[in-house]
Amino acid sequence: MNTTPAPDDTALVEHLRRTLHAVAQTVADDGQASTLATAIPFVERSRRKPAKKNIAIAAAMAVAGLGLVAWNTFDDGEIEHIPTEAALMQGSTDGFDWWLIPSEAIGHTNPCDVPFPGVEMVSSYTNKPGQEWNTGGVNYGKNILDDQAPEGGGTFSYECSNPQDEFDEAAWLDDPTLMSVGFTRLGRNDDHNSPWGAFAAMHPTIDHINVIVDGETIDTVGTITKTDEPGGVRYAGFTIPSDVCTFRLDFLQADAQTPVVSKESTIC
Amino acid sequence: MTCIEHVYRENRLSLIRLGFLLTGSQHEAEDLVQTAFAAAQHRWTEIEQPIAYLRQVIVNRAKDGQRRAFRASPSPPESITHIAEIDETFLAILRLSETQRAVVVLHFYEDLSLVDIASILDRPASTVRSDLNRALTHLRKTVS
Repeated sequence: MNTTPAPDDTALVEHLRRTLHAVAQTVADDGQASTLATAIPFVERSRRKPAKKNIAIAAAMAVAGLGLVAWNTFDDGEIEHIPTEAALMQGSTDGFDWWLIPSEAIGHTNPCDVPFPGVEMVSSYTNKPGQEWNTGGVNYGKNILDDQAPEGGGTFSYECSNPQDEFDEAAWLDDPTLMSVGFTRLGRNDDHNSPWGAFAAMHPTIDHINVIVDGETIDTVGTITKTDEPGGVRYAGFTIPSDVCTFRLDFLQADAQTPVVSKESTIC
Repeated sequence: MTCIEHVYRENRLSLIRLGFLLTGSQHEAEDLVQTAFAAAQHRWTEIEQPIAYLRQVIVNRAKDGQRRAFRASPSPPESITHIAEIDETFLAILRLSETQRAVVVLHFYEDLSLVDIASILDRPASTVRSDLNRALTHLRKTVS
């Protein structure tokens, strides 16, 4: 079925088309998530074969100044053991043990063998020795590789002649509203009774996160730095009940009543 | 089968633009695109037309999202293109109901037929035609 606008609508229709295309053209790639793959919050590493060096899957999604998620999967490798000794946080929810561990301790690097600076949520259920790593992670900072990506998309390859960190923290430190948040099932991804593991990387001034469902705070999570970076980027790991579909995260500085920024997410 | 990473690379920006036209917020649009790819990845091999699928998720999520009472709906920027005529028309489009707005955007921006739009919105094509006519009636008054 096609529509043929009435004669007096022809000008209107043309104006609408012109308007929509003009407005759309104002939307530029913000460079936060254009690296091959992501902004996908529920990626499970084990669903993919170990990536080759020239295949990157990374995501950093900014929403209202909030990075949604940053995922990185390169050369995952098999699990020898979970480096729980390096965990920044840990917990057990509905029988699922989890740890928030720096990517460097796990051994995840970018295609240029530079360790990722962020952290990953590791569930014991989905990460058993001999398996491939199956984690979700976040990094803090602007992904500098996005600046090298072709405008409007297209293929992309790494240049490792001058290996460097992919994420420029300095670019985000001026703005405490910038952050990355991600989510992953602690159990099988298709197990809807499994709680979600959530993880965030945020500005050094963020002291805690309130998890709010239906207007009520169901959890308050303190943030933490890496042990060797006191005063640096802060991280948090926590869980979301399996039956929660939409929730809000309020990011607060110490003693503040008003969040620096809020982020609402839908995960169902 | 095109891999999801490739589709993401090639279509992310155009999908964000679609989301922006539906919501008036780039942040919301990026969120929608993220959600769409997240939904797609677990059934990627089953999806015959990835772009159509992603577009459908974005459109319907945009509609659902705007119905949520406690969702903070960012106000569209006062000036988008710095062309008053264009900005005013876009604001008028944003003031349409979610469904009418989706029909207008899909028909006049994505150039989809009303049958295709009906499939995306899961509404009878005749209803979609009525949606479009009502939207045009409203916009004719507003824009003129």
